Amino acid sequence: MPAPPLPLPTGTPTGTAAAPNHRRAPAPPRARRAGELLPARVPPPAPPPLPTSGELQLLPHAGDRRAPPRARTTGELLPRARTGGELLPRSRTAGELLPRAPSPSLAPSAIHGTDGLLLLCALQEDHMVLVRRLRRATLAEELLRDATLSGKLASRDGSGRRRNMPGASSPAAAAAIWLSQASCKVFPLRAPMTSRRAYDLATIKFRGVEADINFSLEDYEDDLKQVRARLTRSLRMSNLTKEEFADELRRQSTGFPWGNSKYRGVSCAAGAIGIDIAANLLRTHAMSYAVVVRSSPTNATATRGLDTHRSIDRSPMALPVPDDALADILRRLPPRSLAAARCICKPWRDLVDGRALLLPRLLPHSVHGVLINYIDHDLPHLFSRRRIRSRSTSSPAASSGGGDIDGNLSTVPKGDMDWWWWHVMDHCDSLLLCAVEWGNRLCVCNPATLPPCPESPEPIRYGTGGAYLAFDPAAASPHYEVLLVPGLPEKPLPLPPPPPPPSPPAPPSSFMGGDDDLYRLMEWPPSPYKVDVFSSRSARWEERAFVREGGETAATTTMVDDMEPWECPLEGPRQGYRVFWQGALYVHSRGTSVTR
Amino acid sequence: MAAAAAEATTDGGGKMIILISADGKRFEVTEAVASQSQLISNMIEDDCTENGVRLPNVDGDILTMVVDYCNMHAGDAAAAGDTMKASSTEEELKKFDAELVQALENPVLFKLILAANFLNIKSLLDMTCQRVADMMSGKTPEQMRETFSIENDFTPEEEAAIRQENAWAFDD
Repeated sequence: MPAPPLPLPTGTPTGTAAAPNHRRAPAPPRARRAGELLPARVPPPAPPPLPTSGELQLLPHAGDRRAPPRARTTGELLPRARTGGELLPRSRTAGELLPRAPSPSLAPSAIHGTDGLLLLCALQEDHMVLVRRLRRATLAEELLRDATLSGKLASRDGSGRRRNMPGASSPAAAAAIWLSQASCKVFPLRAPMTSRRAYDLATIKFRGVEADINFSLEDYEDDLKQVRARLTRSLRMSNLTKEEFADELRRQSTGFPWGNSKYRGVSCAAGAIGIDIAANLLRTHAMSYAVVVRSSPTNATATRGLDTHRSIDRSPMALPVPDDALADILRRLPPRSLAAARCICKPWRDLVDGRALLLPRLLPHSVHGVLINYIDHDLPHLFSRRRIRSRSTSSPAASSGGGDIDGNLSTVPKGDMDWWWWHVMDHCDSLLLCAVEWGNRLCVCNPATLPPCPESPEPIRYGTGGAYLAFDPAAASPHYEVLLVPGLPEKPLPLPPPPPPPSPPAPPSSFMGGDDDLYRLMEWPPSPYKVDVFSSRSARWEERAFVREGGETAATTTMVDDMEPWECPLEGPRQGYRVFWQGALYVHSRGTSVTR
Repeated sequence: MAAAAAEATTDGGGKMIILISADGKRFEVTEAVASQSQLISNMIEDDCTENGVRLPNVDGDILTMVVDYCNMHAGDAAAAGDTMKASSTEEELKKFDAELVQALENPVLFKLILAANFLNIKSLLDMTCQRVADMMSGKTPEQMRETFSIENDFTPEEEAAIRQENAWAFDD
């Protein structure tokens, strides 16, 4: 089929590189807002003709027009992208069942052209989920903007989500928009194609057999073959009649079957220095192996191994709500409950995995390894088995470097000078807390997600005491906190609750001089125990007060005298021992524990 | 109930819309009330409501609840002008919502979710989904299965494996 004329030059590598990149989500919408680009861009010169086949050739063109910034924000988009597949099976079925040309009612030529591309997208989405996610979303976005620019599509802005919805004025479009909103909600980039599909669904739903629809299977015949060849298992499509299909659509709201991910779940290794390459792979696999296939009711619950296609909505085990709603419910669960819910039954597990509800929260995850801080050597090293390697060879992750652990931790921003000394202060689950620039700055990084360091606190006031990292991927967010736990006051301070202990710099030699009883009998830690906390969520330092459990009078009162001073409060990479366990940070300092 | 709903809203003015449930019950509501459903709102915009809106997958009973809910919440969207809404304060709304979902049996709750999903009433969907999530929260898999009468279709080996995968969720 002739590639439709597209506004911008074609054939740049972005398009061809699509396959290796497919696991990555495309740049999020914010990267390229239609509004920003509007003045700079020209409407497409000519509407592309309706594709009849071979949209694979088309894709690079469409994608290349504006080599989009590929922000690697996989974590964010992944679940959505996955979720976006929800309408796929139907639309494909619709196309199969109802072979008609695109609805004439929507057919001013430019729209038609755009529709053609949209159909293409939809086709991609239907059948190329396995390999083309990036391209699809990118393409969809391109198209969306094109549509906007050329002014051919109505720009409706009611809810803020449904913009540029084509066909807004057609009779059944209300329902279409409603339907598409469900998808827009999770993946706004999909608006155009979703609305195409939604339009079909809605027309069928509301008009039954008289419905005009957009999809035509003939257009996709070649691609179907390709995909079939690619998939080890054939796509199962139900041979429903149009009436049956309409009935079915009416019967169920938005149920749809889900594919399954090859690697589901993450095994968590407690105690290891955390990095998890597998986690990255997991994300990608969850996406790349997501094959959404419509199952007929009879084989809805059949299990066929890794790539099993299951139908959730039909399953007697699932809640009697559509998957959308179920996902909505599950999304509200705290991670622990969500993990528990994942163990309830297979459909739920598949839903959680399929929509990657759980994974983003687990990321990044742990890796097995030993991190060594040398005393007399220059820099820390991480020793880790590349256990991911073997797995990743079959996946694009390996080639893109995402699977390697950098044993030299070269991503740690060491400052301007190569020889600047730094060390690892603490680690927690997957993150390393490094003191760089001679300990003047702290930085947090994850050796597994190579460049760049995910989030680094700003240069900080780095006082005495220990710096600790609190990060619990299971706890609800990918955010961490750095706590600067004040050490013992260095010099006798005003009695009981002394405000911020790090006092004016006193000569360390006088540390625990022992000549001051008041100091030695001072209650420590003071009950409002002020700790500087850096939260990656707010990206700010703040002071937080901790109160001792058990009240003031409890026998837990500890005197300074009870505690031994750390032997070398500042020199050692680790000032103390600590455990971060289920949201609480326990710092060992001779009978002291700080809980958060 | 249907009559009450219609009566309550007629003096609010505006165009009336007839909702027809799967079992043929008819509900007359104002546009403001009905517009809380994004589905119907879009239909209103597109002028396809003149013959009533058929809602083939919403039962009359459920639709009653939905209409109740929408009547109560119409004040949010429609702002002033509606005399009935003026009296319902936010607290009352919250109380109403809480009572609405708390009292529901599971099957009804799920039907309500279905309806909210179908009609695309976001606040109602949020509320019902949250309710279910609250019911799940903090429970073990066994308790969840029991709560929702879900059959465990894992083999013991599979279940052990999947629990292992999420071991962090189970260690206390």
